[in-house]
Amino acid sequence: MMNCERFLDILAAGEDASAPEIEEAREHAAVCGECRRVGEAFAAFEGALADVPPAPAAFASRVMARLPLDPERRPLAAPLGRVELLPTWILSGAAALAAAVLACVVAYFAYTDPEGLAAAANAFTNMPAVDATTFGSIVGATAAAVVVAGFLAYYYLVPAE
Amino acid sequence: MARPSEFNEQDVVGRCRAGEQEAWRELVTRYQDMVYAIARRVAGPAAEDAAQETFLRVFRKLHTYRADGGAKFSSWLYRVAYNVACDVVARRRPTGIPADEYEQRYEGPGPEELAGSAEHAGLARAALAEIRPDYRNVLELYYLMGKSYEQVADITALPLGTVKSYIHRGKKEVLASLCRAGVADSLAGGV
Repeated sequence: MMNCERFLDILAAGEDASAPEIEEAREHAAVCGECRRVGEAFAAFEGALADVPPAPAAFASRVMARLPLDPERRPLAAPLGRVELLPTWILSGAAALAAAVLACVVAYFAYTDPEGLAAAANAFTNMPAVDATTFGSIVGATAAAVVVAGFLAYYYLVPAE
Repeated sequence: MARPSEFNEQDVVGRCRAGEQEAWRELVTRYQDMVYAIARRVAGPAAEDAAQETFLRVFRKLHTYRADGGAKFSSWLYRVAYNVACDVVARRRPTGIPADEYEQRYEGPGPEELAGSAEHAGLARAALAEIRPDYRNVLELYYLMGKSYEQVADITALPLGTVKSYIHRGKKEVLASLCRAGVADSLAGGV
């Protein structure tokens, strides 16, 4: 004879319970009033959770009012739409591969021609000094280029809100 | 409610991508009930914010949805709805308190969902409020999605085995809660 704990186990198994188990549970509920009432309450509980009530009135209108579909309301529209880049994993992999290749090249020259590598490093670090005006111009031009590049990237790559 | 299967979702999604306002209205109208239901189950009192934010995020991220992998738009949308609702809950949690220690005020299914009988409604609400929040979320999605383990796993990004385990344990906790609440006593004569 099935006990109440076994009945609850079968109830919890739901659709995963076998046909004989379900039949066994039915037979138990027929003779055990408490389990029968628990089963009925659980069935009501399941029915309540399966129900999908309608969204509140005017919800769709509120959503539509927030979607920036009107071109004049778009803070920043990308005229060409989102540029489809390669998947992130490909870009990440390519960047990692490029870094690895660069490291290998440097390591190769460091091993085969250490003097040549040192000379190249010296040539880079011994560049002639520039005056303050030239230095300021270089920094300013670089900053402007970064700002313009960032703006263009945002304009063309980020979809409008 | 309107069922998503009654219309060509890929056609509507394509027109939404083209920025067609009427297509967006159709999409929102078609899916608002399910999105709102997910938001209510996960985010409770913040459901309105979560549901609205879902459609805004869909608007911004629609280009990332790809139908060629065989993924249904509705599944993708429900996953967005679930993630947004989880984000809303996390944002409202006081800082410094881990998620598993923060017991969100749980409102459970709305009164219209539990309109059947007052006794059952109260017991169901109490039973749901008692179980672990992660079990509860998965359990509620399970019933919302027509008892599909696969769809719940897809939405929550949990392994299928974990979903099945959570649902089983959630049901056990609900049943234990119903027994503790004295279903037999409270419903005696009423059922």
